[in-house]
Amino acid sequence: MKFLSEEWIEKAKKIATEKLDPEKDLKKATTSLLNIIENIPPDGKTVYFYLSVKEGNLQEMLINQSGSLLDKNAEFVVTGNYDTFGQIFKGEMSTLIALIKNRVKIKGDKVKALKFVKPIDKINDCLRELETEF
Amino acid sequence: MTSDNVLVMEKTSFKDAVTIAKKGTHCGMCRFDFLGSGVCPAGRKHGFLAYWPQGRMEIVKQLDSGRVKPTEKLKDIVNSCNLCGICDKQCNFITQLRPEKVAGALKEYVDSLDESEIQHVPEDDILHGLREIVGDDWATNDPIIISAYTMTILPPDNKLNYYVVMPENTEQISKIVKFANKNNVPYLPRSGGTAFSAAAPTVLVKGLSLEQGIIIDLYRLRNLEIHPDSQTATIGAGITMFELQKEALNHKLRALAAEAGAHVCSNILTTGIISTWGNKYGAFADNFIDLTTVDDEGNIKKHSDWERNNPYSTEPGFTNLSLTPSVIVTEAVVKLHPVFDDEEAVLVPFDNIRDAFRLLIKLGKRDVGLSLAVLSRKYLAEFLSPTIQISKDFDYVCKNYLKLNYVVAVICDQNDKKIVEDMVNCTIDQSLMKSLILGAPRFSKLRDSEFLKILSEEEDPLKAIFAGPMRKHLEKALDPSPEQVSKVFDEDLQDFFKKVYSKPEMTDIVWLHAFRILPTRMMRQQMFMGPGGAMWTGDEDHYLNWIQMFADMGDKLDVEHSLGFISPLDHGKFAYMEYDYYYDHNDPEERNKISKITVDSMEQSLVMGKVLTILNYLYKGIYRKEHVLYPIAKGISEEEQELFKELLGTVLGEEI
Repeated sequence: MKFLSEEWIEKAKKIATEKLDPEKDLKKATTSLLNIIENIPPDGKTVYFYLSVKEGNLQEMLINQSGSLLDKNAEFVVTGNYDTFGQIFKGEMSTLIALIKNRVKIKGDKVKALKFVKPIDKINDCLRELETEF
Repeated sequence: MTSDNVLVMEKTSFKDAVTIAKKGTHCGMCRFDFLGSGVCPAGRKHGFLAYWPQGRMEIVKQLDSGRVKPTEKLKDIVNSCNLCGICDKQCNFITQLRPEKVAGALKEYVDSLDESEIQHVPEDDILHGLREIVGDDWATNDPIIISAYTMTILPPDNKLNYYVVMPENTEQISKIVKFANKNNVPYLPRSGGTAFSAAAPTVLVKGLSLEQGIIIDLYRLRNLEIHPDSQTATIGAGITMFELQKEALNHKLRALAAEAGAHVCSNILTTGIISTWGNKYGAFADNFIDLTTVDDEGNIKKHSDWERNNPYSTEPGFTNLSLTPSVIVTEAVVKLHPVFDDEEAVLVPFDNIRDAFRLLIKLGKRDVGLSLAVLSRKYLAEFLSPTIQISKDFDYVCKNYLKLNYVVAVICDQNDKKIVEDMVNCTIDQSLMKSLILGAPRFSKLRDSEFLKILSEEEDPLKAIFAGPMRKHLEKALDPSPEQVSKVFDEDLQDFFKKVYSKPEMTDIVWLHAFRILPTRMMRQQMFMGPGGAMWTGDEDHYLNWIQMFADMGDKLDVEHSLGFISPLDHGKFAYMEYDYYYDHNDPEERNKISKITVDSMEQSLVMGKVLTILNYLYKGIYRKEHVLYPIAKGISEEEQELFKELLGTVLGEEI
């Protein structure tokens, strides 16, 4: 299953809803995040990957290439290239390392973002259970 | 001495070469001509670090550990070295090591290899793409060449899944960045690598290093032009502080200088040039007229571009950490400053830090002096002593007999000299400093002498020795001369060092302050880590408590430690402070202690407040100091402290 494909998103939504505990894993967080993933091979296109949680419950997980998800006004916008996001999803690099090494750029309150690092990592840990082809 | 040299090298086994190489600290002093002895011809010709003495030392280590296997390029590397001995002169002056022995042992090792032991390195599309940009000679994926970059940009344990590319201009760098992005390959620029080498043995290595991808070695950007009319210089990213300073001095000008081996462009970007000259010459964006940069999309920009967003501001707050540069500075136009004929060095000795700090800030606020700093006893001992043992004895004598624990070092004109002298009891002048440099071996031998015992019984030993009748006895006892100091070096190098120490600049404290070739002696055969930062000077107790916090951490973990220096900036409103810990970088337990100190001291500094730790201004040197230093940081709350711990835990690893 190709990373960020429609099929992958559907399965990701399902597994995240089933396996993540709103309190224990997602710390009852309420926030939204838009990942802008650039330079996707083979033709270098950009994909927008949006997710939101409310009180620790996954609300939306959306993906498209049009940029319309920018209108969702996510609390945090994280931009980086495909390889970096691949490393993050594969667990080879944490989101914070990527941020501190300037591999991704973040828009939003950084102190607040720090509070959501662990819940976001939990989501990534969970999605890693999917058989994903990068 | 050639036959002797050959004899020495024949006796150096590969095992002994590894032992020597492990003591190396990647100071990079072998890459520029600071002694007038010339510079490694192989390194100059081929560029890649593997062809320089420090690179060959690293390769020996990597071969010994089994991390790399011999390749065809290894033959080329050893054949490029004619064992001319320049590296021995340079390295011995700083570290007392003999890299030529390592080069000789490596040559013998390669000569003994069977062809079947030579590994073939396949090329790939990324390498072809890089070579299209820079030419065939300046890009490689050879693991031997890559391994030489370990500890100066690469972590010690990663697979050598890298490329090295050596562009010669900004346009090529732009193309490399665009090519890397298109192919989803990470990259990191490399200049001198010395700052990284200090961090590499610690927990910081994960955040600062390149985990895979393209090393962009900036050495070939070697443009250097002095513009006397505007008192500026245009410099490429491959130019060191020493090289710039030397050219500037030819025009009776001076650059704000960090350590001699630091690459100017990189140093501007990394920390904004931390220097004892900063109170007068400036800090951060004060230092340059213009920068040429390549951003992370490969766009070439200049600070002087008419239509661009403000490039001088940065976000405040403890979460704004960056462990890699946001742009690559490829060229800078820096400010130069006039050198005056009546400049002189005046050192004011102190037995306690409070009085030294008080004088420093008083002078800083009045803008007295061109260079202004408190230097610790340990610093003085390391800088002035030609060998490690002499520095230890020098330190012992200063501490136990003279009660000389700190000096306020002022480089100034005659007017400022008079101001300083009117404010204090006694000073150490240029002439006595010259005697201490040339007489350092004798000075260190004075420990336990009758002369010093009598001196230590004086009510004020500092005044007695530096302003009283005992001074002439000290100068006589030192018997200072180039002959005497050169005798402590290896026999075959003594003639050379006699000539070196006969040069006026080698005992000229003003020159030594500007060219800063001696501080690297802190890295001789051991590593140091110098956390610290810039703190608001408005609360003296707060500042001194901050210093004490670093001392307490060293005591607690039983690590050798000492204040490095304190130097004011922004007219004395802030002062940089570096606190140094010295340790064996080959000992894992020692490394863990240093890692703990690095993280804990940063956390405690943020809790104390009014301080910007060095990690907080890392890679912020291109911004205005007003945006970096202000608003004065408040101490972080308990909740923020927890978040900060979490941040460091995630970034650096949970092992601390």
